[in-house]
Amino acid sequence: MEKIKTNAGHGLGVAGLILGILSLFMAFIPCVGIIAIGPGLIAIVLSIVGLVQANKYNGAKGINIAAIIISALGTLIACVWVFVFVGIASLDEDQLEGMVEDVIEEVVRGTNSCNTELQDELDELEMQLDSMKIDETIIIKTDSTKIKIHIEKE
Amino acid sequence: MKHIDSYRIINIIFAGVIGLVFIYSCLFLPENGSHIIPSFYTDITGNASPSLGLSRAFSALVRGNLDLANQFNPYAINIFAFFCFQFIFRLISLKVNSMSFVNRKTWIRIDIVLTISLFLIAFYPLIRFTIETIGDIMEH
Repeated sequence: MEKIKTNAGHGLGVAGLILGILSLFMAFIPCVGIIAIGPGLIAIVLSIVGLVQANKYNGAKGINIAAIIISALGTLIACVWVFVFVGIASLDEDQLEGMVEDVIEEVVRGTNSCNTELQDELDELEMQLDSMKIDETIIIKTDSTKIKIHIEKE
Repeated sequence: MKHIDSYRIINIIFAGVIGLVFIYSCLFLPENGSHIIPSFYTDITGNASPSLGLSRAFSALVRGNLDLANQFNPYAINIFAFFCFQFIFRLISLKVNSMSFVNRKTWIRIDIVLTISLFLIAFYPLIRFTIETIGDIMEH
């Protein structure tokens, strides 16, 4: 005789699935990825309890299994951000200093390569100013940036 | 046995969550930068991530300021479009039982495929960044 299907574990499975999907979404956002561990772990617990109930009282197991897989994936990805932050925290002073210097160097390099045109313009302006006597505020307007320069001649 | 319509519950909850995201974006002005959710990644590592400025960009987008949103985060428009689509799709899906042109199972299959595809497209820069970070961790 076929067993009668029940709703056992179904509600927990749905809750686990929703939290699991939310944790997976959040885990891919680096800024808030670490928070995804919370809903991810809750989702795993809920869906495991749901699966146990479904096994015991002949409920549907599919939704619970899907919830476990999705929430485990979300939690795993969220753990990546924990590793990143723990890795940063475990660096000693010298390593941290070296890392900061690298970042500064990279930023300076990036800024220089982006602003060569601006630098050229400023050099040209400086040359022009050398031949003039100016002691006031000059406003340079570009397409995207408004730069205000105050020049005081010695 | 009391029947639980799980698809309906999932749609209601996700529509609510996305609605809350829109309300959150409306509450804060993009220029202020006073959003209550910080960027943990930037705060801890000091580096920028592809999701930096997403809240401010969303605040600009709900006010229709596309240029400002683009300045805050270049990927925000795609992600915001994904959320808008999802919000509308969840609301439409609440009426799936009364749709005569498509049956429920087909609709759910379309929903899964569409959502996963659009998620991968909209979140591609963030997914790539996450995978690269995983790669870096594996290397060390």
